[in-house]
Amino acid sequence: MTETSPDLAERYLAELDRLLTHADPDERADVLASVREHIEAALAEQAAQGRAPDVAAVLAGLGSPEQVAGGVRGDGRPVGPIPLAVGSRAAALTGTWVAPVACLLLIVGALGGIVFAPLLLWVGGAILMAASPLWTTREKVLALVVSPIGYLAVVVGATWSVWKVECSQTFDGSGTLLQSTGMCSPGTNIGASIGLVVVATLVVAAFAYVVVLWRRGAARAERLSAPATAD
Amino acid sequence: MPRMVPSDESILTHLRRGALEFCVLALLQRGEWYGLDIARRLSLDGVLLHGEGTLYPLLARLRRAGHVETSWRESTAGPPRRYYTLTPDGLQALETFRATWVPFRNAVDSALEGPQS
Repeated sequence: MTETSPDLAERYLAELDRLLTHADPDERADVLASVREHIEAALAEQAAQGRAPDVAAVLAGLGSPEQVAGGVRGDGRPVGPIPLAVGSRAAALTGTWVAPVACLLLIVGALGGIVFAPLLLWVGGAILMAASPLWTTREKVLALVVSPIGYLAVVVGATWSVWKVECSQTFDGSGTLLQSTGMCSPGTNIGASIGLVVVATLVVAAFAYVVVLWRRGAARAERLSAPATAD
Repeated sequence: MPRMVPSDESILTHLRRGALEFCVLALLQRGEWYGLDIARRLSLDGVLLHGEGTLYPLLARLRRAGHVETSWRESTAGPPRRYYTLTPDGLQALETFRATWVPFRNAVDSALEGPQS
């Protein structure tokens, strides 16, 4: 082999991109992303079957870049779907704003805890994420389960500080402890500290996951909507 | 003048233009598929699809027209995939095509076979 397989695929995509220079930017980006996905999926499939990656065969199956681009241009002949009287559905939630907004709402809504309208913000983020096709179902479920942990942490933290302040002990005349509330003994403090560390770790993990989804969603939106300039 | 006689492939190219998108919609009516699977299924016999890649401009247009929707799914092998599903608009377009296709096919058949006595 005189050139590596990725080069072959990249050259194919670059050629397709060049041929689509005058196509609608949206359509151009969509076609390039789908063809790239096709190549990646076909190669992953070969790998899963224990075969050596054969990019040339995958590209041969796709047809030439000219053939694919011809489908976009339609060669001057109308080939688009027949328009319906009912008017088409609003564009799906795949804009580049969707990932940052949804994830920020989830984080701020959860972190805001009891301070300000947390539920509203969080629910907004949750609905946006659930309705957007930028994430897989598994990712959505995990994010929606995991992000309220931040809210939980604020509640636990607030409860803990109140409880600590309210430590009060009552002794009888001989110095015997009659009653103790709150965190007065060192043992309770250690327990609470461990608890806090655990909660803090959970919160960091939860928000880290939301941030990961933010980046994934943004990358996917980019692939779908940005005019491709693969240079 | 041999140039005036269209080849099999050029006739097929013309016929595909009107029908292929509805074959995609019909496929999606029976379940959700991702790009590679649709391409494989439709290019099985080389009649409907010539070159798997030519499917993607079609899918892009169907998506923009609101006839199909995409969503990301995890995959057991490789990166997450975009799955295509039929929208209510797409279903309506498909039903309209179905209702039109049968009389069209019959008319073509009867024209090719000559008048029935």
